[in-house]
Amino acid sequence: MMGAGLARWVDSRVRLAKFARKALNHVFPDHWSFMLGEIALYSFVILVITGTFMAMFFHGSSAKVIYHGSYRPLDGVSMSAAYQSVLHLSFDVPAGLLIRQMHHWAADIFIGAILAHLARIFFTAAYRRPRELNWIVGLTLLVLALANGYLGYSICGDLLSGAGLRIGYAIMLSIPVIGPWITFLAMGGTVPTDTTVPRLYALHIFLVPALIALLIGVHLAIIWRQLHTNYPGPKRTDKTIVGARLWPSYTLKSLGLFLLLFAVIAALGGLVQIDPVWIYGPYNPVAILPGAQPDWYLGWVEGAMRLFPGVNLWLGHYLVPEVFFPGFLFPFLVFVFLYSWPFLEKYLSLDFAAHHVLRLPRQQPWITAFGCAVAVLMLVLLVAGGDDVVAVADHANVVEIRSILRILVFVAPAVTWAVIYGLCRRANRKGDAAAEPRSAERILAQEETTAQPQ
Amino acid sequence: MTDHEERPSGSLVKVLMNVWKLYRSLAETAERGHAESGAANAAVIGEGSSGEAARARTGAWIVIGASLVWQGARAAGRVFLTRPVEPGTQAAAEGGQTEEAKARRGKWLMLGALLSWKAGKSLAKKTARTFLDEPVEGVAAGRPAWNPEARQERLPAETESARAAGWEALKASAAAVGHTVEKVLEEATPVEELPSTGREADRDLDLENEVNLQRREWWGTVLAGFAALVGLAGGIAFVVNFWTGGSNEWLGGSLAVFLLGFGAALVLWAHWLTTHKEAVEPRERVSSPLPDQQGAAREFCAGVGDIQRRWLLLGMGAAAMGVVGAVFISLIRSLGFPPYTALDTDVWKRGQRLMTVDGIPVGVDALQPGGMIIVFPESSVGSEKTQTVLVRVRQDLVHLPAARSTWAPGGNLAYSRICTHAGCSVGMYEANAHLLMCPCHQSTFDVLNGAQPTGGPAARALPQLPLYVDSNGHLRAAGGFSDYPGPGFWGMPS
Repeated sequence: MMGAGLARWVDSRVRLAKFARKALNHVFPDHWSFMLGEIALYSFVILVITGTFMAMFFHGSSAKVIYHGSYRPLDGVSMSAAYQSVLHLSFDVPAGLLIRQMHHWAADIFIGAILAHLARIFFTAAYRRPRELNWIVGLTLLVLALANGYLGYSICGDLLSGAGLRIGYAIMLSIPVIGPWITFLAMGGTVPTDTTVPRLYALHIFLVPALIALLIGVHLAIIWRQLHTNYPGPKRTDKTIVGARLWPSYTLKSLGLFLLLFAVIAALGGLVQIDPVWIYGPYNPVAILPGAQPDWYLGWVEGAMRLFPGVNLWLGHYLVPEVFFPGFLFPFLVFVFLYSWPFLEKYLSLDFAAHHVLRLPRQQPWITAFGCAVAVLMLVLLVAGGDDVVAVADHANVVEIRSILRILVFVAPAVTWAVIYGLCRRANRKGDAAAEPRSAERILAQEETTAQPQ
Repeated sequence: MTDHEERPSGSLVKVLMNVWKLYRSLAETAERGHAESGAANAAVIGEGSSGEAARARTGAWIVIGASLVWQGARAAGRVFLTRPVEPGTQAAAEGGQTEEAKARRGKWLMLGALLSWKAGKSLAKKTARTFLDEPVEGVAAGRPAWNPEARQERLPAETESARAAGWEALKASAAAVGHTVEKVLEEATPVEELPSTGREADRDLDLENEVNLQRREWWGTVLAGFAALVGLAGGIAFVVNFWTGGSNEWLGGSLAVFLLGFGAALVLWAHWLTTHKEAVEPRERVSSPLPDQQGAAREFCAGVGDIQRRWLLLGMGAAAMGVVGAVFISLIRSLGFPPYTALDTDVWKRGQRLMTVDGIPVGVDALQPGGMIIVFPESSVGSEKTQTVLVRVRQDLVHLPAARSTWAPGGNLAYSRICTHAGCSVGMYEANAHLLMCPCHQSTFDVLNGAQPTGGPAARALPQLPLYVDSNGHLRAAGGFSDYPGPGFWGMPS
């Protein structure tokens, strides 16, 4: 028994048996929606694996070079060393393109899974006491993931990333009082300068991932201490947890999930093209790229920037530029709202108790309708972020589309709210009727409850 | 090896005496074990009853054998290692013995002995543990995990006596080789009853639902095995593709099949070949019990009370933080220059010629009405910040403010090409409508009227560059931009 020997060897040095025993018996509730966070976690692992590979080939440098690689259409073109190294990775390193596309897909899935996980937490009210702290940690992870996604596709030195950098620069610069200072701190001058890419690269591969890894640890430790929530059901109360034990069935399933996710990302990386930087060409201040879009998770900010009317605010001699309101203030307020949501909800519902059994979405019609309205608002903004693409596809006028979207941005969430609220109420009536015991059973149940002193 | 050498087991005589004792006790144990494990025991555990005692004996003998080998080899090794070669003796000359050769042989001997000891120890441990706390094989004939009744049928008394017998035997064998084996056995022996984890109380959903376990096993094996084979094929395909320079599609596809196969195998394993149990456990209160809270607070405060001159310490800490902050700000300072000087720089100067991106000066009639071109100051052709768009319109259409009436000689209008909204290049020109348009957020600017914004999110006009025509007919800047070019910021000159 090699394993037993090793276990004893380790245990006699750090005393682990008690913890291991507790860990093996840890109970995890089984539900598909509880996998969303796991998917995010495993995407991060895949991002680290693929990212480490890429970092061995990438040059975080804006130095000008002339390309002479195996991609013939760009032969002899002047470009940044960063862009050249991306081309080299994509065309000359065996499996390099696969790893790069897997990295990008994993990043998209990472953020998508975090958002889905956030939605699950929101619509089942899992953020209630004692889990407010983990809500905050999770939201911070989302912010970091969004930031690192932006940093990642901004350092490639292609035309699209150049446009993205200039817009990011304009948004940062627009922040009142401190904007110019933090912009120069982060980017090293008026973008693009030679110092921008090295700085963003350092943030992308070192600081932000380290913070993400740390906060994932905190997130999991808090879940471990508090135990997972349960959906309502038999035996599930605020004083019990019902589920499968970590060892062996949960472990096998979770490892299987990791491999399956890895398989999906490998298939996407191999078969579905993403961010083909060689088509965009190298960044060049004079060139433009019509139909340029940010990655989908920043589309809502882009859409807000397109729909927001041109308003300059002069405070005496000081300017708050138009881009500040949709580009910074709006996302900022969205996150302020999200961060304060558990506390807001607590004071709105006057429910300060600890909860371990989830609410079904239909059991909180007001909140569910509100969440759906916000989601629809984000979708409208996402469409607005691609209004020029929509216009080209529909042979329509982008100005008309913008006018329609400016109305939809208010109307669609309101309609959504009303519809979802009504649906929840109806589902509640049906659900309660279904849960109602038949008459004889009800009488028995009542007798039992009165007989037992609680 | 210092662990083992703490207590050497003494002379050979002592070892032999212990072996004799052990033999006696083993004989007794075997008899007693046989007597006590009667018909009832045999009915339940089958051949296991006499098996237990036999196994005890075997385990003990293995320990003794291994320890004897170890002791002997160690003694021999010591002789080799410690007794010096006497130079010039016949033995040394014949054997060609040197200190080095001897030391080497000694080391090998020690190593061999050590390995045999390790092997014997692990065998003995395994044997010991088997009869000390594992069920004998007769019981495990069914499938213990899926056959809970079989376990319960065992009679604890019988098993206990067999265990006790074995324990006696091992104790004797431990005495034979000294301290070490005893320690080994202590590790293998459950000292006290462990607190329950509640696992025993898990509801077995498979049993409750009367799942056909054999069908489950068959299907699980087939499905998981098939998935694993598919995965294996994918893995081989990936390696072959990689070494033969396969395309991205094949590489990604085969990697996906490889991972998919093994991932599916694991999930199928969990679904088909793992017993389904539902665990219900109580939740503990998350917050600490009151005494713990109070204790922590009390001890923290007591610790604070132990610090003398607390305020001085706090002051020192604050000062240190201040210094750290100052150092940090200084380090940040090395990341770049203060922004305002850089943001205020305006590189268009009066008298500079307008150049194309290829460095050719632009004449007053270079463009036809409706034409558009990108120009730069001659000092910085191709630069980001000074990129300027030059358009030509019919002179009579221009309606600039009075102060700018001379800025557009021959209907040539020059504007900053950086959007005042978010800094993209204002790259599209609709000549019929006389509109410049930014491709990023679709802001439009009226070139006839000082590039005032007419649609989209931009709120400020594109700064205009005043022009004049020199004696050669070339266009030159009559000054800097009318306004700050690019996206706005706090502290931007108004």
